[in-house]
This record gives sequence, structure tokens and C-alpha cells, in this order.
Amino acid sequence: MPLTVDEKSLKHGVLSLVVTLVEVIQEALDRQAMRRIDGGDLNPEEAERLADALLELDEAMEQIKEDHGIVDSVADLHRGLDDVVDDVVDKLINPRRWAEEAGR
Amino acid sequence: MTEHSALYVYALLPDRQGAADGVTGLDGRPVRLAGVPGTGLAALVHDAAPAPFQGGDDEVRRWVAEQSRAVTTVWERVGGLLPMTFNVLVAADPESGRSAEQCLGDWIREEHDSITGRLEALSGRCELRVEITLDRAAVTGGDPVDGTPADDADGRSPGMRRLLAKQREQRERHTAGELADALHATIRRRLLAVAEDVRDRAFTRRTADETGVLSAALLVRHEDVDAVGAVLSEARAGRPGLGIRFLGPWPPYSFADSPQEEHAEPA
Repeated sequence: MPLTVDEKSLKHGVLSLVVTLVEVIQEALDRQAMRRIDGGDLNPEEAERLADALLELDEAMEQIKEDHGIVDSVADLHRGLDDVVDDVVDKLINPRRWAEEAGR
Repeated sequence: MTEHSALYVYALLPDRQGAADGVTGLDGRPVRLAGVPGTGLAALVHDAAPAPFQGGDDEVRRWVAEQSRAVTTVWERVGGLLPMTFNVLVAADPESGRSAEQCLGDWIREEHDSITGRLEALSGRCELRVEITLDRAAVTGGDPVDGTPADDADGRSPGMRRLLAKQREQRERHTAGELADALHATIRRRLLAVAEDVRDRAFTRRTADETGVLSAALLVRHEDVDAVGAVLSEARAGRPGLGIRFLGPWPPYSFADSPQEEHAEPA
């Protein structure tokens, strides 16, 4: 069967995926920053500088999503990734699901 | 291959005369029962080209809705059937000279025992869909979670205010997640007392402010549908922020997986 590829759609798909992955990394950075701040590793000025740098990254990401019209597709992908993670965790902690999967 | 050398199969069911009368399927095509003599079984079909239906998202959504309407109408008339998924086609076999109807009939004969067994298991039963979510703001009462320095945000830089808001959101998620886990176990156990089978399904609708509690397809006897409603009403009582979507009844799509998935060969 011939595969028809719409280049514009492909570009948006890849960009949405990349931006979603950057957002996942961004969340990890946010958590790590809070941990450092709460742990007293940074003085107040360093903490403010780090927080403002993360805000700038956040604003830049929002701008990229707006500019390329991928706000909704990134949100969908993010939700999809959350569901995949939920599913994997559920399977890991719920052995009954292994039997269900194996039986299919 | 001719334009109508295949059959588009909607469902397998007991061969009841007149069950498909006046029913239409994809693009308004009239559907019919292709009976398999000697088995007591039939397939709900229409003639088709031996190629899957393909189109844009809106068109496919419309086809799926049309297929669902046709299957539901016949299911309500007959009381039990094995619904097929979208795009199940049986093609003629030019090598042996068998028509699509003969190929389908041969397969139904081969699988007669398992099809009949599955039909009996699903007879008088329907599928319900339940989606339960927690509104995080309602769980924490709109107040900052303990230990979140929300009031400390005053006088901080925009970046620090953002980080504190994120931290508050994470703690709300965590609190709602713990409550959702506890509710999941309780509600699932109560549902299993009134449903014959429960299969987890992905959420179809969930906002960013909600935490998922349970999303599942239930196989339920018709007479137990109200009991499922009662379990859900009880779960919601006194639990602010618990949102419940309760859909159905419809044919047991999620529970008809054998033997169709293992043996059906789309054209």
C-alpha cells in the first residue's frame, strides 16, 4: 500500500513531539530546582536567577507552540504520555493485569 | 476482483429472520443477514469492494457511528451478538473460486463452537462505560496543600512565583493521586460485585485539572444496569469533586474479542 506523507503535517507532528519531550524535561528541571531551593543549596539571589531562567524557558516554549499552532497537539501528546505512564505503572504494580494481557 | 466481491462484516449473531430488515450501515448501505446453513448462525453484512474504508478523520468517525447504529439496532432486536471492529472484510478467494459468502460461511463453521460459546456468554448482557475523575481543586478545597508556602510568593520574582505555583500544583496532584488510588480500589471492588467483567480503558475526556480515578468497560446483565448506577451514586455521595460519566448500554464491543481477533482476516 503506498504511504502518502503530508510534509506540513509531518513537520507539525515531529515538532509537537519534540516540544512535548522538552516539556517533560522542563518539568524535571522545575522539580530539581525546587529541591535545590528547599534544600538550601542556593542563596536567595541564585535561587531567583534559576527560577527566572526557567520562566524564560517556559515563555519561549509557549511562544514556539503559539507560533506553530501546536498548542492543542502538544497538550494531547502530553496527556497521551501520562496515560502510557499510568498504564505501565498500573501493569507493574498490578500482577492481575499481566494475566489479562497474556490471555489476549 | 469485482466491485462487490467482498463482504463487510458488522457482527456475528444467531440467524433470526428479519433481524436486519430496514437497517442501513456505512454510507446508508442496506445490511443483511448472511445465514450459514446448519449452524444457526449468521453474519450481519453488506456487499463491498475488497478494500478497507479509508478517509479523513471526520469521515471515519461518521462511518464508525453508522456501523455502531446498525449493530445496536440489530442487537436490540436479537438480544445478543458479537460485534466486529471497524473495517472487517472477508474477500472472495479467486484461487479456489469460493465467493466471499462461502469463505465467511466456512470460517463460521470452523469456529462454530467458540462463536456459539461466546454468544451464549454475552447473551442478555450489555457493555457500560464508566469514567470517574477527581477535580483537584475540590479535593484540596481550593486551599494550598499543607506545607506549600503559597503566601510566601509575595515579593518574589515572577520566576520564583511560577516555581512555587508549580510546586503547589504538584502537591495537589499528589494528594489527589493518593485519594484516587484509594477510591479506585474501593469502586472497582464494588463494581465487580455487580458486573461480570471489568476491563480498563483509556480516558476519553479528562481536563488538565482532573485526576483519573477509574476508566473501564463493564460487562453487565441488563437487569444489573441499575445496580451499577446505584454503586456509582453511592460513590459520589459525600465526595465533592468526584465526576462520573456513565455511558451505555451498548453491544459488548470490549468483550467480543474471541475468536474474531485471532482469526478474522481483513481483505
